[in-house]
Amino acid sequence: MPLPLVAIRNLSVVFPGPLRAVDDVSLDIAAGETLGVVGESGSGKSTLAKTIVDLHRPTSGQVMFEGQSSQAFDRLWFRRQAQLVFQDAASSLSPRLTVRQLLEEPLRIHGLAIGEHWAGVRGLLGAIGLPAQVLDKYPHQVSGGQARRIAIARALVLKPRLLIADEPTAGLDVSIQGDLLNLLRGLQQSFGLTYLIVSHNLNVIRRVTDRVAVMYLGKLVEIGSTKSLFSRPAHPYAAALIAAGPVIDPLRRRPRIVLRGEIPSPLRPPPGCRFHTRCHFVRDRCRVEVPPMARIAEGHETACHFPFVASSEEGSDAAPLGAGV
Amino acid sequence: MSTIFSHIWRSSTGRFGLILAVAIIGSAAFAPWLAGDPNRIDVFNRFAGPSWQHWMGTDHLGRDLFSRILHGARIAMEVAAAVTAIALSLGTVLGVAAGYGPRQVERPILILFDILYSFPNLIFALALVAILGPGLDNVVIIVAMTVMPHFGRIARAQVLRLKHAPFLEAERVLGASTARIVFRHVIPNIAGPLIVVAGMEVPAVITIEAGLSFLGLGARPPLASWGTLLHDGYTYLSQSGWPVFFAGMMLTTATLAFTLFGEALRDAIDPRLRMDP
Repeated sequence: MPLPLVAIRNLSVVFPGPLRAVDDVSLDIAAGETLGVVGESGSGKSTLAKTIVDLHRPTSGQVMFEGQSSQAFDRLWFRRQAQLVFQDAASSLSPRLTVRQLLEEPLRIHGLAIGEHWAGVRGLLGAIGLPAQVLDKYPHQVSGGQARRIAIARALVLKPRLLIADEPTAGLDVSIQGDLLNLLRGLQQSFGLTYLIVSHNLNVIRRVTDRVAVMYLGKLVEIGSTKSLFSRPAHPYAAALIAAGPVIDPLRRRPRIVLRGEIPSPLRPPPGCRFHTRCHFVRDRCRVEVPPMARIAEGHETACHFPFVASSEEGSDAAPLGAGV
Repeated sequence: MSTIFSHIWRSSTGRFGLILAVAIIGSAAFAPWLAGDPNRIDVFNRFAGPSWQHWMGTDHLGRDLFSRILHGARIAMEVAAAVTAIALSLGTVLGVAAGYGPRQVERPILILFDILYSFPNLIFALALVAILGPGLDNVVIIVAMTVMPHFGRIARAQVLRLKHAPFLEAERVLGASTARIVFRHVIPNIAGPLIVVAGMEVPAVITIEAGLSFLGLGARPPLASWGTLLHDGYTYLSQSGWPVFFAGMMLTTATLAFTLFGEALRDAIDPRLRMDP
């Protein structure tokens, strides 16, 4: 197996409280793939994204980029490898700078001659679908969709290899969401990007990702290929999440699981399996023993003592998933 | 910039304050060309009332009051400008350091602000004059120290508001250094409220300078300051009321002008800062 672009090993991020926002998460991101991270608010997915770009320091564990620990490498070099597009794109643009200055900013920070690189930035603007007129506007003068495109353009000025998008479609009209997802896909092909897409919108995740990681209360509960995970979710939480999403094929039957109650406070997470307080299938073992990640199918792992394992009947049922989306 | 100006111009009090303030600054700047020598003594013409030759009369040494008041405006404006510049820059640096820096930096700065803040301005200034000695340079330093915490506290509060703003995190992800973030992204975004406070401090500074000079702790004779003019006029009040009248009028007008201007500036830049003293 080739070296993953990003390897996250036993990563925990604990905020004062103590609030374990990310708790012992390990996963790989392969070069060129699109990995989705889903979960409710407070599941730690945004913290995970910010930790990968070194906005939060890991409390324990590490983030490795091409096999090197994130603590070890040159700061500016790392910034040219991995970029983040923030959830609230409009407020991630410095309000007193024009769009032109915002796009020059990464070049200035990295000591790159603007004259030499500006043609590339202009080309990027074209690829992203931003008219040249926006260059002289201020962030508050552009629309939400344009602000997101500007944020994406700014992140791509440095030609990173990994682009993390935190809720890339939040707050956009459905039609613009579609355009943006197509744009992300196009950019991936033209720039050879690797994506980490954080979202709670399952339609978005299903449409653009190759693999999906499901998080609950700071824990990774399931990871697998998008196809396998959407058709045969093994963790009751993942199953509930998917069952709650709109059904694309009305003939398909899935276990309908309705979650009770709210996500527990991450300040006092339940012992054992984090999900046991809301799980329909909870047994005594779940209340005391933390389930480890275990492989249930090729490239599909889950952290559940009693996962749903696909029977042959269900397997045939779920096969043609990609068709409808 | 032009929108701020038009905003001020649209409010009647703002327009009034702006015109008066410009007139005062202009007469201060051009005092040597607008009026004669403020120190020419003419003992045969003491305590003269207003006339075509001496528009505001003369003082106890027969010096032309109009000239002395215009030259007093110079001192008032110079002190106000110097104090505001020092207090604004020092307060901003300390406030940003307290807001953006670690706790070990924040604590001592806040304690310093509290100490400077807890004394009434004039009393504190008196104590410092006693230590440093009288003179205009010391007045500038002293008054700057007493108003600096106003800027520092506003700067810190604004920085705390911004500290976790996504656009600052975005700059970090792009690789910007802390210095770059502070100077290019934090300070420009807190400048509005600080400029407003600067505008509001000018009348206070003018009054403190006049107060210290009145007490003989600021401008020394024969230098003409509104404070010393008031003091001299007060000494010879029984001979002539004109010096006190004109100097007092001038001080009041200047304070009023800069207060109205400062309030209009605040409303134009950031109406949320409207606060009761």
